[in-house]
Amino acid sequence: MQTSTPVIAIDNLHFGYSFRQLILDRLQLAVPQGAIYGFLGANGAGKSTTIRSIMGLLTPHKGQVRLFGKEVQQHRLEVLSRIGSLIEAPSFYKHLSAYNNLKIAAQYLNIPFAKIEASLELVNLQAHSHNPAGKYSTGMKQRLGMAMALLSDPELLILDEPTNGLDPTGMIEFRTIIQRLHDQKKTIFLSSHLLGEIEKIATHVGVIKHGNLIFQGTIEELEQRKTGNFGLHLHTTNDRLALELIQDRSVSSSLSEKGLELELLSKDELPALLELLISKGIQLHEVRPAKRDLEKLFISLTQ
Amino acid sequence: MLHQRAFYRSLNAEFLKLRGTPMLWLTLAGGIFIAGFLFLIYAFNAEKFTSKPVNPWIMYWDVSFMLTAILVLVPFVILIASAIVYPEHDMNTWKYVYTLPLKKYNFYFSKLLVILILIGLTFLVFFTALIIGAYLLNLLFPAYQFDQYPTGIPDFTARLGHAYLSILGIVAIHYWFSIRWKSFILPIGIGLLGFIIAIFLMFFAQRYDLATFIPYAYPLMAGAEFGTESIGLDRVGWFLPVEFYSIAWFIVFSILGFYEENRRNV
Repeated sequence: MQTSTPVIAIDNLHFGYSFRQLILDRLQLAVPQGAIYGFLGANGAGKSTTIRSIMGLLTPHKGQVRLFGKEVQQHRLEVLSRIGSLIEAPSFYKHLSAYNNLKIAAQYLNIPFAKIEASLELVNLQAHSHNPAGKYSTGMKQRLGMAMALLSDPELLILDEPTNGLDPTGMIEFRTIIQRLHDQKKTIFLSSHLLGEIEKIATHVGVIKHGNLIFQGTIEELEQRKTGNFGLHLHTTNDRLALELIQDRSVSSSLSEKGLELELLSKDELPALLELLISKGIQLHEVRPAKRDLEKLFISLTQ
Repeated sequence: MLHQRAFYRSLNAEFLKLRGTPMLWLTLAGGIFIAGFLFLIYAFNAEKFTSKPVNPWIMYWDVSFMLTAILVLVPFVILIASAIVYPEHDMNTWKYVYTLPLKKYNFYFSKLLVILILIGLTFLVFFTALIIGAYLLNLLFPAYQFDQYPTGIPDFTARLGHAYLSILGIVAIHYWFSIRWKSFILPIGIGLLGFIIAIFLMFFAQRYDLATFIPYAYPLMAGAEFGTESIGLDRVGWFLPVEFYSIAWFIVFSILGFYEENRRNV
């Protein structure tokens, strides 16, 4: 459910470790309630600094960060009590087990130890909860970080590059957890330098470049920012013949071993084009929108 | 009241962090080490030490106090202060702790209190081990006659109390160092250098006036106040001048350390 007050609202934020070089420069950002907000940017664009500012770990030179409508530095404890976070690599005590790490977190947060099991279950870490966390795999460490972030059942979850170092299985597990939290109406803010990863889970996207937000909107709005053409990937029983047939109807087209890549003026042309191929006896093995366009757009936006 | 509870919770969290670390063993070993060393000295020199019919407790307490003040106390305190903070640096748990809905002083001062408690525990273990050691010596070498003379335990307890107060300055300084720097090496290096300078000023240059500016000299100065014979509280009083300096350093560096920590960008 959307409300008029964004969960995170950043206004004209300036920050630099020295006054000469600003890492965040007039940053504006708004995250609606219940969104999975993908915060995209190349390495060094200012993502982590933005997150540190949101969490009140950095004092901005100028500007304001408001969480739940309240200024972070002034209402630090109040807003932090509604947030769970995982900033860069997960922070935990590696000589202790996941269970004892969560016990420490529970102690700090004044949460009954009985809630630890539920948190471990949510990230599927119960089986290893009594082993030293330092010996965990990257994915398990990440899940422990998530369990610590989720222990207080926060309204807002802030995750900085949460899939760094995860293998494909770990990434899928992570997406499942995020989707589950989204279903629970939690707001999730996650940063990444990988568009493909954000695209799969985010409802909203913000793109940062040199400390400035250059795009903000839904994934669909981001797609509209491209040329307006519709990119398509086709694989048929006869790609060469298909290419000849559709060359005139597409803006651009190319043939590779994997199939045909083409751009149509609009999505509306697709049914007629497919009908044409079928009428010529060409069977379709694969028809999907080409992701390349979004990637190209992302690269052109961020570099 | 709410903040008091937060502090209590932070303190509990700090004790939980000690699980699986060698810290508790270190405090036990630190206390037993000197008592054990003293036991061996007495065991191997029983004939020599029992040649005169004097109260054995006097020399026993003197030697144990000298060994503690001169050899072990300062390096041990530096080690404890550094080791207790190290796990926070190791996995950069600062950024977790500082994003918790707690005032930062809870975290800062609960850790400082844990250091003080651990050092206090070492003193307690040391004291207990010394008494057990004395009666064990008496059992093995009855000529010592530890059981025939007044123990002087109140005097020695007072000495330990003075020693504890004299190290407070070093505790606060090294706690601050250990939070500032991830590396163990630099704080330990500074501490040992300070300690060597203190020994030089105290025992070689005989410059007590300069030594009063160096907190590493305070345990030595507190020890020196007692001379070589056991004396009571009535002679020394509740606080020695160096202890006031030590407490002053403790207060100044605790506040300074917290102030800087509070402003630090993590």
